[in-house]
Amino acid sequence: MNLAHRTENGIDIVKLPRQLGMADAADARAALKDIINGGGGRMIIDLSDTEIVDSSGLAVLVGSLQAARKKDGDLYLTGMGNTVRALFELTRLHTVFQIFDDESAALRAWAEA
Amino acid sequence: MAGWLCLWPLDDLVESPAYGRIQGLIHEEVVMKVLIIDDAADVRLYVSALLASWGYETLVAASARQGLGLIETTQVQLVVCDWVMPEMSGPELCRTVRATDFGHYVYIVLLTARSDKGDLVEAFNAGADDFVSKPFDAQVLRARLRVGERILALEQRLSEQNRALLESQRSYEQAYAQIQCDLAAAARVQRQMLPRPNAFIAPFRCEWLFMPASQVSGDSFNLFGLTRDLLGFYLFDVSGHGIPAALLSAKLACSLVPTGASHARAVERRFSGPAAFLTQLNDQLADPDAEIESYATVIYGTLDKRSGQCEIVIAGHPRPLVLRRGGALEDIGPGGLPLGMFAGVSYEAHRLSLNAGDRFILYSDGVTECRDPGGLEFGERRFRELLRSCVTVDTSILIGSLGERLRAWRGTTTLDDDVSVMIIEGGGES
Repeated sequence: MNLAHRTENGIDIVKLPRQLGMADAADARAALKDIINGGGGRMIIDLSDTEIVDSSGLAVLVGSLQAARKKDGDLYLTGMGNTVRALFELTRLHTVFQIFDDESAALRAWAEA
Repeated sequence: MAGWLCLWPLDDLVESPAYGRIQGLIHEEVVMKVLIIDDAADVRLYVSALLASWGYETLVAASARQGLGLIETTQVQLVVCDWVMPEMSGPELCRTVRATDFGHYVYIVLLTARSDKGDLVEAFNAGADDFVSKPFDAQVLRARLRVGERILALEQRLSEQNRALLESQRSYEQAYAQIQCDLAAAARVQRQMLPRPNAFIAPFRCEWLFMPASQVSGDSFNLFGLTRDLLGFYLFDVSGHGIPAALLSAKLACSLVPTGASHARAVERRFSGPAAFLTQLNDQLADPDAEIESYATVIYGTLDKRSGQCEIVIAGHPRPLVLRRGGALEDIGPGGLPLGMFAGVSYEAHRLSLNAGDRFILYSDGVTECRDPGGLEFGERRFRELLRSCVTVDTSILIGSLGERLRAWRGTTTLDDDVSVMIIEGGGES
């Protein structure tokens, strides 16, 4: 899976596609893992294009969070739409992830971290 | 038919370069058989000698009937046949061959003195493959036979490929049928793990709805006895779909029933309430050193049959509801994180008093996320409205109308996600 990926001030910024579901979960997991392994584990995932996340997609995000934290990094989420936000609140995962409105807010948080 | 001329003198036969190769051909490769059908003995003899000199194995027949018999018994595929013969002509033989299934193609070259356009059309329509005009040039006959051989080789390759295709299709069909059969068996096993009409929960009752998205499901729910007075219950949804989710679901269903649950004393020692139990189980399932691949959202709890007191733990699952006898709809929760994601997290229990006529409703997100053909979710609001409209309705009818409503909403028989609903209704004196 080709994810839109760039690096800014040592932070890996990745934009996820419209859908993160069972069909592409394995590919997305591998692609994110490559980015985390190749970088410093400091990461921002932009969900502004992402409308659908199912339970397999959620596992990919949690797995990436765990991988980033294992490298003493973290995974910040930005641009979360209402549907994805509802899923995070339902599963209480909003208490685990750092969630920001947009990329600049997440970058500021990384600068202060 | 006698009276034809060959332009290749008989003397040439023995000197033809092909003649010397005949012996070698016989031993090295399969020699093509050719059937010569002619009522004139001299023609049969001559053509036969000519063909033998080119390396063919020859068979001869003095009539079309005899020729048909030889095609049947020797499986000969290449036929050189005279047009005009008593009883049955060459074109008639062609028609008979085409109407008969010999299990292989028969390539027929007609020998004829006729060259009229109408005759050619008649012979082709009868099923002849080619012609050689009499008097014939031996090299022309030889070239025509080679064409026949090429076409027969093509035909044979095609029929072999067809056979191979049919065989592989058959083996795929067998494998598919086996998988379907196994899935149906797995689905039966899964259904056996759902609540049965149980006497042991009286005076409470349980009604449920289960609509899996595929044959096997990642959702499951059940009730089980913990002690004489205490019931345990769960409803969960394993991440993903299909067979992997179903296997994890079976594993989780076993883990959620404490070992020795039927033995009251063992339970008292091992089971210190649903929150502690789920916290422990989460630590077993979540590997702190690995990244998660799967997890489950769970509602897990106990119900005291004497008092109607419930302890309920929610792990990342849609919050269960209570429809009170008087019509009030209450949310239970919020809960904690999904099970098997993060080691070291703890869960807390919510308490609920389930009185006679109150209904405790546990459901999976397959209900609220059930999409209509336009992609619109059934949603929480419609679900709650339906529940409120059923306050005075018997629980089994409520479950039935929820199932109908979801099927109508969906518009097709296939679902995106498993739908599970379990309702525990309070009984006894009100």
